[in-house]
Amino acid sequence: MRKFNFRLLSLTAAFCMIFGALSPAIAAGEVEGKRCVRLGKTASVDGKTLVCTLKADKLLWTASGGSSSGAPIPAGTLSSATPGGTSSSWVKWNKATCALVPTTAPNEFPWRADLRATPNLKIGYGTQAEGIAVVDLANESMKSNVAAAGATYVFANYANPDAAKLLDGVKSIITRQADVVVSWALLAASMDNIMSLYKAACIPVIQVSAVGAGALLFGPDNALVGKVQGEGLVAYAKKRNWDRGSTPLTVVQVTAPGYGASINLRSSECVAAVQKAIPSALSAKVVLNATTTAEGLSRMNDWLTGNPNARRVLACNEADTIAFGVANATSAKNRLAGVGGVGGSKNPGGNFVGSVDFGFKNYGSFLVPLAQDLIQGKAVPTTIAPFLRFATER
Amino acid sequence: MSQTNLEKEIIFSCRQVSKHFGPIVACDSVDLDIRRGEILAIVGDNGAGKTTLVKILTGAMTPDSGQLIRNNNPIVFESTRDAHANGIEAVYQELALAPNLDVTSNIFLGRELYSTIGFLPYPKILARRKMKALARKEIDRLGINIRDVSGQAVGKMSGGQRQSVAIARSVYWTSDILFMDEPTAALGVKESKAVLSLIRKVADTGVAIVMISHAMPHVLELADRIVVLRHGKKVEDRLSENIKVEELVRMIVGA
Amino acid sequence: MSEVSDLKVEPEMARPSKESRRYKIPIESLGLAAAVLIIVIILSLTTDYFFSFENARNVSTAISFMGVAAAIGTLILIGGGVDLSVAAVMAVAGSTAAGLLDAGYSAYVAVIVALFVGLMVGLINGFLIASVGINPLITTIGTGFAVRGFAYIVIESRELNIGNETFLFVGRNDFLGFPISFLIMIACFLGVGFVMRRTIFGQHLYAIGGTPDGRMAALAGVPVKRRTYQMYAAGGLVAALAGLVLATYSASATGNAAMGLELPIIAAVILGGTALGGGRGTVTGTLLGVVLLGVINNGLTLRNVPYVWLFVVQGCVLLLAVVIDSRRERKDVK
Repeated sequence: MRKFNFRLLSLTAAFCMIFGALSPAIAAGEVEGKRCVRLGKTASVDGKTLVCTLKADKLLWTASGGSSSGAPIPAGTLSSATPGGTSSSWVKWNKATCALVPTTAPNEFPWRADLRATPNLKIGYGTQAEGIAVVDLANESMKSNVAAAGATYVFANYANPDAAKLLDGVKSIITRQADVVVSWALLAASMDNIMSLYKAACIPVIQVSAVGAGALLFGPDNALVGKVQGEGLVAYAKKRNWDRGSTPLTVVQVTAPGYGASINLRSSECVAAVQKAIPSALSAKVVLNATTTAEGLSRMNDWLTGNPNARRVLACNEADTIAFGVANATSAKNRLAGVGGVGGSKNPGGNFVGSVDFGFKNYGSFLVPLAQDLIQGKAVPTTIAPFLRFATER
Repeated sequence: MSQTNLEKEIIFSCRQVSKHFGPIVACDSVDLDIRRGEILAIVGDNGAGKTTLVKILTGAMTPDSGQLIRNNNPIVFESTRDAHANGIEAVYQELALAPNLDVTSNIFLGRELYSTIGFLPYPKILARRKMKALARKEIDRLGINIRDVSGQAVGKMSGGQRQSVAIARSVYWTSDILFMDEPTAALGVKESKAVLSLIRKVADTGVAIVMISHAMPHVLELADRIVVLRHGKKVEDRLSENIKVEELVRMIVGA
Repeated sequence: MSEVSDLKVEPEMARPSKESRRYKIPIESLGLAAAVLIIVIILSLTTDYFFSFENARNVSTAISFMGVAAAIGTLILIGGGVDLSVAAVMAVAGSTAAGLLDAGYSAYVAVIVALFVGLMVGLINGFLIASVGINPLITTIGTGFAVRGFAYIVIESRELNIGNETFLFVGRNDFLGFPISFLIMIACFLGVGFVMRRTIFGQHLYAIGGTPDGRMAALAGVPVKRRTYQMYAAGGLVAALAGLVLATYSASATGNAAMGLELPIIAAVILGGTALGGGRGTVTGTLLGVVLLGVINNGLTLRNVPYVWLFVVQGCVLLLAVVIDSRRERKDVK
């Protein structure tokens, strides 16, 4: 009689248990024995066709034929994303004149970012910097989306605010014969120069964040940013009943003129949104001479010292770096405060409520399809905005 | 020759020259006369003030008080350039050579021969060929054994060669007075002999030579007159004839 | 005090003899030239678009402004000095020119005033170093800080765009097939090279740099104080020129232009064979150093290399230069 191999049985049982625990994770990546590791691969389950697609930088099996905006997904689409907003004016790239020409906006479906394979395309990307956390997320997103499309990646670091390195980067992209370029140039003084260089090389440009004459603009609508921040702060205040009772609520606009009028809307529209929701709120303004954390800290500190009766404070900011300093000032002065930021940085806690997240880690899933549409002569909006979200998670 | 020495005219002198560095008195009211064509030796123990005195007389230092007189005219030296312009040359102990430049460049350092373009005063272009020829001639005339007067940095030469270059430079520009601070100190026997005969050759042309030296035999052999300094003061000033070494030592030490 | 008049000789006598005209190319420069050649060959074979006229133009215009500053930096370093205010002077020159152009003045006025500002800074440096006697490193760091502040103040902390066609002509056009800014750089190298090798001024700078504080040169009768003034004045003036070249290149001026450029400039100069202590160096070497750094920069960008690696590479190249320099010094002393 053969001995029953208990050891083998227990090993098998253990293996089955471990495998079972892991299977949900594997299931997402494995269907019908096929793993979702290559874009575009299809699998068929219960008569439904699944496509391996790129979603927020992960490869997942998704049902093809579904879309959030209603327009049918063209064949060969690798992934889709719907932007936060598009302008009503649309343009088309004219290869002969090397310029954007106005064209009629479609009646039905607004523009949607459909990524497809374009292996013969050279997509240029001039990033503003490397080493800033949120910008690195955007850089990675660009890189992986270009790789997913099978296109050639022509990369340069503009090293903002170095005007000479900006020019070196632009020239390098032109020399490598990019077909279309996503350009994150922020130096207003150099914009005309680099736009004329790209135009002379007949390369269509998508400018990120900062406006460039003759280029598409991808970036948050700063007025909307302000509104989202304000609404987020209102929710925070209402939950704590700061809009009621005898102690007045003060909403402070922390603004840095050095950022320029457009970015200043992030704080002014935030204040407007708070006042709209809480009409009894008092308002105040703190003006910064520099766009640094230290400056935010000291100016807010000065304001708090000069306003000892402001015991409930909401602060509207234009960037996270400044917001961190403002939040520290309110904590140090022991005031009840809710401080908002812009940029989607990690929430450090304390009086920092949350930040308007532009979704940097998905920038590529908008910008690369936009670039593809642009160079292929399709009609595109002149301005596209990413999703805005007031992120409060710690 | 020693008899007529005191009758020769005085071409350079100093009166009541004093110099101190903080509490240390280097020179204390020194009077000195230098006569045409004489060989004058300044001797003294370490710290007696010899080098300081020579540096004052040659423009490398300014005195705290006192006067310099050149050919019966009072004069002030702001720098060695002023001294050069008045015909006073010196070979210092540290040689004042630019170690990274060649012999020609060192001989003409500060007094380069140049040409210009048209009527423009600048740039002053170095007249290399002419300077090289003149340097070669001077080196050969003095019997100095150096193969390359251009292209070879003097910092790479031997101590004796460097000393010779410094002497050649001063001799080239000398008009009537040449100061030398310890000309044979760093040299071996053979090279010392060569330098001493060089000094005599120069003196024979009528140039007055003022030398500081620790080497008693050399002093007694060459000098017409000896000046002894002790603690910054001049304590002896006499003709060298008939002075023995022991007496010289006694004068220096002050026994 | 002035050169004796009979020291001036007839022009025929002034031509350098065959022996001194034979420019002994230092071995170190040959090594550097070989390094440049090897890197160019490697990049040409491995990197698309590197070996092309267009890219060569990109490199030559990109290095122009740094090259001009490195040329005069060589002169100052040979003379035993150091000028760390060069980048700040470049910025203030660009700001001054842009501010004047923005206010409606002509390009010629803008250029002349900017050069004058650089000259003034140089004279201030010369005064503090030669007359007051402060250490050049500390002095030029200090003047650099102050001048950098003025680079912002002059344009009220704005970022100015330069649109003046006359001014931008230099940055945009060619002459005899070469970009004008590149030709300006070459002219500066030729000029500094000529001054260092063929004029009295250059000879005196070598002598002064040969010993600490120029002691031996002073004893020998070189007018050290005057030369120091002239050296730093030239430094300020040519740094301003470099700043103008940068301004025509980037068609803009900001207070932080050329920020941090002092170190790559000194790196290029030392790489080229100029001793940190002075008394030794050639402009040929510096030009090779500038080209080497520029080619490495260009190649890394073409290869999509993350920006941070450029700092690592430049740092390593500088370290290498310093090590080679110190071994050269030891060889000389032996």
